Amino acid sequence: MISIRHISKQFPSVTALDDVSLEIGEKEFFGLLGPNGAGKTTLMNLLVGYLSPEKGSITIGDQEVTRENLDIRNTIGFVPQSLALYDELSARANLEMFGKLFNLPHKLLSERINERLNAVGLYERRNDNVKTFSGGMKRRLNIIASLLHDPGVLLCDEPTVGVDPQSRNAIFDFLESLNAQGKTIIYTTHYMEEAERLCSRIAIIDHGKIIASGTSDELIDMLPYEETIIVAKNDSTMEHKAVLREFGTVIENDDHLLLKPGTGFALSKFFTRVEQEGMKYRWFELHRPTLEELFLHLTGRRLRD
Amino acid sequence: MSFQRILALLAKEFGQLFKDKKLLPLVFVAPVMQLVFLGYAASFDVKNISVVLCDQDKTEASRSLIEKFTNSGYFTIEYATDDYGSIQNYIDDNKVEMALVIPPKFGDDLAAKTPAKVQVLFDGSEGNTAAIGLAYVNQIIVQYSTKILVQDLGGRPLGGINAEVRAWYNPDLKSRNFMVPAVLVMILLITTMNLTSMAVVKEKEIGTLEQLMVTPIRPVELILGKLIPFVMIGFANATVVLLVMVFGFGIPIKGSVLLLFFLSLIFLLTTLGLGLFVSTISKTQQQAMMVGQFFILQPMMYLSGFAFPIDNMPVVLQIGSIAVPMRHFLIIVRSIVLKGIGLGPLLFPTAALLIMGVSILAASVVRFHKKLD
Repeated sequence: MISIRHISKQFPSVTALDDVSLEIGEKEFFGLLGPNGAGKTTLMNLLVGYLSPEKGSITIGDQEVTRENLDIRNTIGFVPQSLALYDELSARANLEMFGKLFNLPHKLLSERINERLNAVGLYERRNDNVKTFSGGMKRRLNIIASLLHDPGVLLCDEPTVGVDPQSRNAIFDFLESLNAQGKTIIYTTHYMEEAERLCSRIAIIDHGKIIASGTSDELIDMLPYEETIIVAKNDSTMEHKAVLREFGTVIENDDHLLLKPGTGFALSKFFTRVEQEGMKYRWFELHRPTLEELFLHLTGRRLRD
Repeated sequence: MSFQRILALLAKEFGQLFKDKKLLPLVFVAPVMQLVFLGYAASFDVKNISVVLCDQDKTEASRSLIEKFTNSGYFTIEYATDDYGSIQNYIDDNKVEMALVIPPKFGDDLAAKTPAKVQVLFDGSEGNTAAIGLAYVNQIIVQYSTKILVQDLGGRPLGGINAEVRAWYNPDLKSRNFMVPAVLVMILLITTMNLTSMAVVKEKEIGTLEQLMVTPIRPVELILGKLIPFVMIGFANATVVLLVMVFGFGIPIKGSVLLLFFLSLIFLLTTLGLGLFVSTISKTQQQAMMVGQFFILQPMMYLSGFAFPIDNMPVVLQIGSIAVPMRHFLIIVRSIVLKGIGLGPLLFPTAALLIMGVSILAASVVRFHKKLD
C-alpha cells in the first residue's frame, strides 16, 4: 500500500503540489492524468525520494519515503520522463551499471539482464551502442533499467513521450504483463487514452491538486450526462431535427449534430423511431464520454491546452 | 560505503571515455602536443635579434665592434645601409628588431682617446626582446670598452670587481627547463578540472544524474565514482608528460618522483574541487568549459608565476597570488624537478596547497550536495 498524505511542494515561483492525498493499493495500475505542469513529475520525484515535501508524508508499506531513506529505493523502480541512458555504452553495459548500483550479485544481475532484454525484444542488440537505437528501443531499455532490482513498485513518468505507436503498444503490453505479475505501477500521462487503457484507477491532477479520482467509469459518472449521439449532418437529419429533439438536446456543429440524451432516454426506442422516419443507422454514432470531457467539465480547459 | 557502486561508476566513466573517439585523443594526445608546443615555442630566450647596420665610419674600429655583435650569437645583421633616414622603415616594416648606427669618426674618436658614440635603436613594441637585447648590447659595449682601456694601459690588468656569476639548477638559463615542468602543472589543471566539470554537467544534461540519484547510491559514492577516474587520468597524463620531459626534452627529474606524484595528488584535490564547483554553476558542458577557462584557468596562469614573475606584479596581486593553488604547486614541481629538493623546504607550499585543496573540495562537495536537492 502506498499512502500519500497531505503532500505540498513549493518551488520558488510555483506551488507544484497542494495538499495532495492518495491511497494506492498493492498490485494496482494507478494512473495520474493531467496536463503538462500539473505536478505529476513532482509527485513522482517525491514518491522516489528525489525531492522532499514541505508538508505531508509518503509511505510505501511501512517505510516512509525520504531523501535519506536509501533502502526504500530498493523497492522502487523509476522510469523518468526523459531518457536516462549512456549513448556511448552498449545496452548491456548500461544495464550492468544501473544493476550494480543496487548491489546485485554478478550472476543474478547477468541473469536478470538477459531475461529483461529478452522480455522487451532487445537481446539481439545487447552489445550495440545505445546511440544506434531508435527512440522506442531506448524507451524499452530505459524501462528495464529500472526493473533490474525487481522492485515491487514501478513509477513511470510519461514513458511514451516521443515513442512511435508500435513501440508504444509494445510498452503497454510489457507494463500490463508486469502488473499481471504483481507489480504496483503508478503511471503519469497527459493522454487520456493511455490512462483509460492501462489504469484500474486514475487520479486527475491540475495545478498541483487532485481534482477527481476513481475508476474510469466512476470518473465518467461524474459528468452530468452519459453517452451522446453524433448525428451526420445531411438533408434528411436536418429535416428531422424536431424528431431528434424529442429525445434530448440537439446541438448543431459545423459538420455534425450532437444529441445529448434527455431524461428517460432509451436507445432501443430511439433507433426504432429513427428507422420509422427513414433515417439510416450509419448516420448515428454512439459516443461514450471521455476523461478529456471530464477534465474539460471540471477545469474548463482541455488536457493538452 | 559500497565499493561495487563506486567500481560500477568507474567502469562506466572509462567505458564512456574509451568509446568517445573525440575525447580520447583530447585527453591523452593534447597534453603531449601542448608540452611539445610550449616546450619549444614558449621560450623567453632571445637569440638572433635581427639588425640593420648603418656603419657610417667604415674603419677597422667599427668593423671590430660589429664583429663583437655578430660573434655574440645574439645578433644577426640582416641589412646594411648608409642612409640613416631609412632605418625607421626597416623597423616600421618589421624587417628588423634593432638598428646599430656607428657614426662617422667613431674610429678617430677612439684613436684620439675621446668618448666614441654608437646609437642602438630597438623596436619597443617587442618589449621583451628589446629589454633583453638592451642588456646584451650593454654587455658587449662594456667588454669592448674594457678591451680598449686595457690596450691603453699597455696591457696591464684593470682593478675593480670581477663577478663570478653562476646560475644554479639551470646553468644555461634555458627557459625551456623552467617552462616544461610548469606545463605539467598546467596540463594537470586543465585535464582534471575540465574533465570533472564536463563529466558531471553531461550527466545533468542527459538526465542520468537524476536517474543515478534515485538508486540507493550514497552521495559520497557518487562523488568518488565521478572524481576517481579523473585522478587516474591526471596521473596517467602526468606520467606521459614526465616521460616526454625526461626523454624528449632531456630535463631530468633531480628529486623524488614519488614525492612529485604524492604532492600532485594534493594539487588534484584543488583541481577536482574546482571542477566539481564549476559543475554546480553550469548548466551545459559549453558553459562549464567557458567558466573553467575564463574564470579559473586563465587567472591562475597569469597570477601563479607560470609565465610572468610574481615579483613584477603590483603588491595587491602578489598578495592575491598566495591564494592561487597553482602558484604553490609550480614552486613544488620546479623545486623537485630542477633543484632535486625534498619535502622539508617545501613544507609551506605543501601546507598551503593542502589547506586550499581540502577547503575547495569540501566546499564544492557541500555545494554539489545542495544542488542535488
